[in-house]
Amino acid sequence: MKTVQNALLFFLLLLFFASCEKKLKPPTGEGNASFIPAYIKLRASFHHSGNHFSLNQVVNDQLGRAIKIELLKFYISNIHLHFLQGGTVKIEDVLLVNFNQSAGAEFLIKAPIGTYHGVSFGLGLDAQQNASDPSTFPATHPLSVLQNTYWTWATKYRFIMLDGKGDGNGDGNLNKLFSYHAGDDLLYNTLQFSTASFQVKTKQIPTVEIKLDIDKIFFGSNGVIDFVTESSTHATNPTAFKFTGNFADALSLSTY
Amino acid sequence: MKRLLTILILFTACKKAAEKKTFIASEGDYQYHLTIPKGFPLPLIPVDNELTESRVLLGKTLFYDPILSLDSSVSCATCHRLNLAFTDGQELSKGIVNRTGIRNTPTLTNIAYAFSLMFDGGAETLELQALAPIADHNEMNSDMNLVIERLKKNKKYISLFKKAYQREPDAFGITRSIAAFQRTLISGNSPFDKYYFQGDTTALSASEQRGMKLFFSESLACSECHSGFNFTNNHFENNGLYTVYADAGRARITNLSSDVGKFKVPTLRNAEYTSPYMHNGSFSSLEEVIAHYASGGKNHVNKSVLLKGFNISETEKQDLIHFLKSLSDKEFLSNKNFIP
Repeated sequence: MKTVQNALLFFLLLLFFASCEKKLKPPTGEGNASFIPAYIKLRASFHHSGNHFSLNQVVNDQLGRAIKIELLKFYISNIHLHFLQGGTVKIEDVLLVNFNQSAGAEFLIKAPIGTYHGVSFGLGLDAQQNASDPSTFPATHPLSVLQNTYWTWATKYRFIMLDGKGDGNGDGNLNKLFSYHAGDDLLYNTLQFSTASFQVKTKQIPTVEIKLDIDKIFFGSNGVIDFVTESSTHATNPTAFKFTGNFADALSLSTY
Repeated sequence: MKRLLTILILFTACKKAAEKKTFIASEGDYQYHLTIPKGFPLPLIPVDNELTESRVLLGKTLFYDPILSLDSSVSCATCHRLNLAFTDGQELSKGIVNRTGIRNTPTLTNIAYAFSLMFDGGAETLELQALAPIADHNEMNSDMNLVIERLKKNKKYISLFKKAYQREPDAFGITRSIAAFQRTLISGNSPFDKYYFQGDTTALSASEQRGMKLFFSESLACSECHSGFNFTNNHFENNGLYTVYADAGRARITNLSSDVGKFKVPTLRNAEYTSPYMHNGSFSSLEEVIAHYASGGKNHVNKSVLLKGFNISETEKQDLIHFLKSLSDKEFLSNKNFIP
């Protein structure tokens, strides 16, 4: 009888320690039981020659030609934070960064308490998101048809939309229109950024800033996009791949 | 006594009519009674858009209302006219401020049975397709935000949306209801149908019967693509119209070079009323269409192997045209259920 009692006691102790050990482990992914929500602020900003830049502001490109961006929207999806101890947690399915809306470039997102050292997200939408019916989402949802990002003729989403004007012939007038709209499953890129370690606590909201460098979009590692000779893309053509590749390279990330 | 008898007869008649209706509790509405012609299968109805009377009514009302276009000048019915089997008689569709579209308006005859929509198959469902003309620069050039704002100010629409979808006017209700209405546009009572599916051996003339034989013959191979009860295999084919295509066709969607110049095979039902033909309306008559296929078409790497050309006499050509015209369903073309 005593042997049975001892065995039972041993088993209960084992269970107790096993559960303690579980609690001490860092969260390692989606749906983890230790997801205690706090917040991070995710901010997107637009830069030119190292300075903040806003829509409709006239700046010179690397060839000294005046340009201005009038519309800029892009999707980021499947946003994950990377735990310092290893593992990741998904904090958001999809966001639409829309510089044309006052609140379109800053988001408060629930995130589990923890220490992190990296962020990853998809530039664009994954295949499942891209196959969504945009009329089924509430008006304010990033995938709603009311966001005007849906290509109705092709029944898929534009991942990135960038429209503007430039002075193509040096006459001082911004009369050359350019328009780069890209979206296709093949254009979906997952980007991963290492950062200095940052903490998410109940009363501490760190900021994760995604910086977009306008220069690198036109003069990027995937090639030059001359707004005069290559002024548009509205399909999955070589320009769309170059544009999307440059756009991905033009993104950097910092935390504070 | 006589009056009582009349009331009793009326009551019985009403009861009988009411009995035919099926109430769908989950939708809070009566099921729309779709009459399926003999020989036709049941069309696939999406689970989130069961056909109900209120939905079809809302869709029909929107279909004929220019409220969907930017300047309120163009409705779906501007290009899809009932008496032309829901086409418009134009080479290329016309939109607001007389803008010209890039393609010929396709018929909506039996559109419930289509596997993909538009000449390039850009939309896979009628619900998704409904978004395209509203946004298209050359068609309605509108914005869904604007459309919804207008509809929300309209008491009639507020009531229709509530009844149909238990919600305020929104993109979901707009796309669902227009799709629901379009699924009712079923045509299956042509002389051919009466002859072939309904057993009326007198429904086709001798010339039409000879034309039918030619149509289904191996030498002409028309029915290789225009097959089945709806006279389409629902595939995309390059029919040798050009050696170089200004319109990439299916490749616009797939970006595949093997799809260049391929367009959806249209139904031939009511073809008598859907001229001009082809994706760009380049043939104005059935005679021109037959002459093109008889020639075998122009060379293109993607041209269908079925296009080999053929020789037929003038009488045979007339027989073939008579058969094609026997696919016209006059009841469909004047069906009052399809107009508000």
